[in-house]
Amino acid sequence: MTEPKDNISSQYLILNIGAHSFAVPVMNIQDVIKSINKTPVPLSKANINGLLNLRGHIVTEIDVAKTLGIEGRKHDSKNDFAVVVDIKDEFYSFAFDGIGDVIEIKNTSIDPMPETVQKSWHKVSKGVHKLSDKLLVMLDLNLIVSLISDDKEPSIAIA
Amino acid sequence: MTVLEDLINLVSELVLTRNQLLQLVKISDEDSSASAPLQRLNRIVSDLQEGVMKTRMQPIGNAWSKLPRIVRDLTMDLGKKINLDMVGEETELDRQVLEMIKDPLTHMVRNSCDHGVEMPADRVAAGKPETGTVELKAYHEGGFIIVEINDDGKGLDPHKIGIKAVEKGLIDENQRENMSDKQLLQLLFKAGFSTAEKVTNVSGRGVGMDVVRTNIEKIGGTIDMDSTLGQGTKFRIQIPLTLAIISALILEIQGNRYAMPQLNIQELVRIQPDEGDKIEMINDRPVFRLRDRILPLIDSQTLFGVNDAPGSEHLQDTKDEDADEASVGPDLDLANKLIIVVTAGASHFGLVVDAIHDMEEIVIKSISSVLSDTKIFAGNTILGDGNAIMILDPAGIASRFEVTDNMAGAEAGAAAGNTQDDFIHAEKTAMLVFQAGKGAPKAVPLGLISRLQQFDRKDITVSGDGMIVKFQDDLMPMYYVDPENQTLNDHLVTSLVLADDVSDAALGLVIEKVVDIVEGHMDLTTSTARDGVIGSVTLGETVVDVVDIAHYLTSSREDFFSSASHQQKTFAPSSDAGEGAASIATSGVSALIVDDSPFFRNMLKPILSAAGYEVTLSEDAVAAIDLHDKGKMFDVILSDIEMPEMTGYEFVEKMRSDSAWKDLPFIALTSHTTPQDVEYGYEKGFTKYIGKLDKDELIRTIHSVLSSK
Repeated sequence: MTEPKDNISSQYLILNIGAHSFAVPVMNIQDVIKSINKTPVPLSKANINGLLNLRGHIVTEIDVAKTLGIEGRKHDSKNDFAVVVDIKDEFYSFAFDGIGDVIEIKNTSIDPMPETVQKSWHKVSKGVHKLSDKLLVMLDLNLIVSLISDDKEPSIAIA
Repeated sequence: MTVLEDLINLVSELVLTRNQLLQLVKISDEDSSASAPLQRLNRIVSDLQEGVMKTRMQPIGNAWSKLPRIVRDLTMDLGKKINLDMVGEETELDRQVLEMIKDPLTHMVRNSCDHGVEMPADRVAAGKPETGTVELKAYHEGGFIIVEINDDGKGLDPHKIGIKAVEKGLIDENQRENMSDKQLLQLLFKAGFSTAEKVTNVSGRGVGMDVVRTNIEKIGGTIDMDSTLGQGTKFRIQIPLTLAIISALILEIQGNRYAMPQLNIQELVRIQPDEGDKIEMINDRPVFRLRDRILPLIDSQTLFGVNDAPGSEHLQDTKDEDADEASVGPDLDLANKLIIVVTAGASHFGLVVDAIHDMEEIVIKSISSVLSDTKIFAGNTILGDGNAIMILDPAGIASRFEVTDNMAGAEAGAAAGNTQDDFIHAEKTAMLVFQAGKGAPKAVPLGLISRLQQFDRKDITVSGDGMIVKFQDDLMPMYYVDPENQTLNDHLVTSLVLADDVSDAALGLVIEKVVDIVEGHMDLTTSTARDGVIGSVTLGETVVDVVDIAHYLTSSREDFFSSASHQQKTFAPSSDAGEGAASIATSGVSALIVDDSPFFRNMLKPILSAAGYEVTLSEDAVAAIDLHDKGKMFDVILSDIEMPEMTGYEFVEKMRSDSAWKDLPFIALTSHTTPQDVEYGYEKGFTKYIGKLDKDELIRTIHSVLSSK
């Protein structure tokens, strides 16, 4: 993932899970797909939704809500959309509830994550961007994958 | 990703799209104008796929190109004369496979030069030409590439290998003596083994033959070796043509599809309850009788279950629902399912699946790193219909569930040491009913049988009025159940093995065939009792003779059981109990068994006698109190709970209150082990609680009770 330099603005895609909003760099996104027809993988961690076929590539889908421990979402249509990202030659899709606009965010306008927020959020986020009506959590999808790969527990969500 | 791999991926996609198109045309068959060009597209795409796949193939000579130089350098270093012969360099195989075998091959050629071929002077002395030959040979054989590495050197000495292996602690002296030359040679592939007597710059680089084997097995190949002392060594490597595409069976478990490599599938078996097929349980492990062999089963719940302990959860469920069914196995919910008999290296197991779909050629793709902790998958793939599915890894499954050899189902069950008494439910006992000789079918409590085994006729020696057979590196006595009417005619002799795990002793009973496993009440009619038969019991519609195990235990050579039971190691599970056991068992401790069931009395007596106890039997509590009043003294008392006249609770309470026995250990023998019962029993004065048919636990408990006194 290319690191945005100071004062250079890059494009980010806004993604939603429940009431939370996240921003992911557009550059890295291969595709945005409707998350359907997943093949479950037994014995995998709880935040792995399953496998799907995207144009001949096998994509492993990660449930972002479970990874971050977001619970009690209102509407039923969870995990509707997924963004597909190539991380070290492996394809992953990250499931979100919904997608929003693409916006420009200046690197300098990103504030550090408040310390009171859960540890798992610190591990996968570089900071917070302030919009007029809401806060955007800047997600680093690479870190989500390494967080899951390194975790020896069968389920992060429960831990 | 290289251009070529991209191209291959694109072609796979093209094939997939073609398949979908063909599917569409088939559905709307009125539209025939599309079908002709589609057929042409079909052909072109197939040809294209084949062509692209061919580009992956490379001659094996590419992996060998550096070898002549390596050998030449080696001959200089070692002062040997070696000629490298290469045959079949043009044999083609997948690029990826080629990469994988390059290093193992190089290593093996180095090995042959360094350890195989002798110094020129030694060769001349042995009457061989001064120049040694290392031959490298590759050819196709039935969908595989065979690579042979032969040298005409000094060969491998199995005896030396055996001694080395003992030194390295890979095997013990006892095992070594019982191994064939072929088996000894196989030790070379064990981790931690290196025959190099001195470390040269050629050998001793920490890469042993075990690494070579691991690498070859990783790509689905096998390696075999043969050596003649003084004449040379032959290695034979069998590797699949391609890694990328394998033929796999698509199967369904719990509504999801999985692929199983066809190479690992031995056969498919449909469970047909109408024809007597059923799943049985040996100490919590489901097994299936496949042509008189016991096949350990792995069902979906075991395979994917949340519970890590294989099988336990599954059994628990069945028990709660229907206690009567539990001991003979959950055959109801497995009815009409299929068993895939899978081999993985030396292991065998049956995978229970819900349905079987097609055989399909699949392209193996590696699984993503977040899934790497699921040990039972070899990869994933995309099916013709576009779905992504997981490929099961037979070796991974086998190692996860410790299915280590053919009979491992029974062994693993015993090793788990589950103390729960599976065979008794409300005084019901599961009996194995079998046919042996003439007359009524015979029965033995299932709990006493450790396995069904077929022995080769030629392995059985008739000595005196008994027989001896080699079994698990030991000699085991074997008996006819009906000596008048049984003979060893067949090539294969089926035998029940009744093994005493505590003392490592075993005995076999020759039978004709297994009829059934039946659960019934042990209402014994002793009028039919004779030598070797305790009596008869009605199981369902039929009357069967219950075999008196005690008879065979005592008729086996007198020292057989007692001497074995004194070996300390046999009490390994708890070392302190083991210490006590050795001293106690030799001093002739007396035990009183109070039980109203003649069957259990007769079964327990030989078990305890064999462990070195002086056993007194009492048919109920009243009789036991009589013994007390007569001034008899014992070291330990084992009592049933449910007895007429006076229950075990009342008995122990009475004895504890005021008697000469009030300080003795009382062990409750029971089939009721609800926590409340146990609590109540302890309140009344029992020292320990124990299931009736669990011999190991019984002996262990008695030892620990006595040693803690």
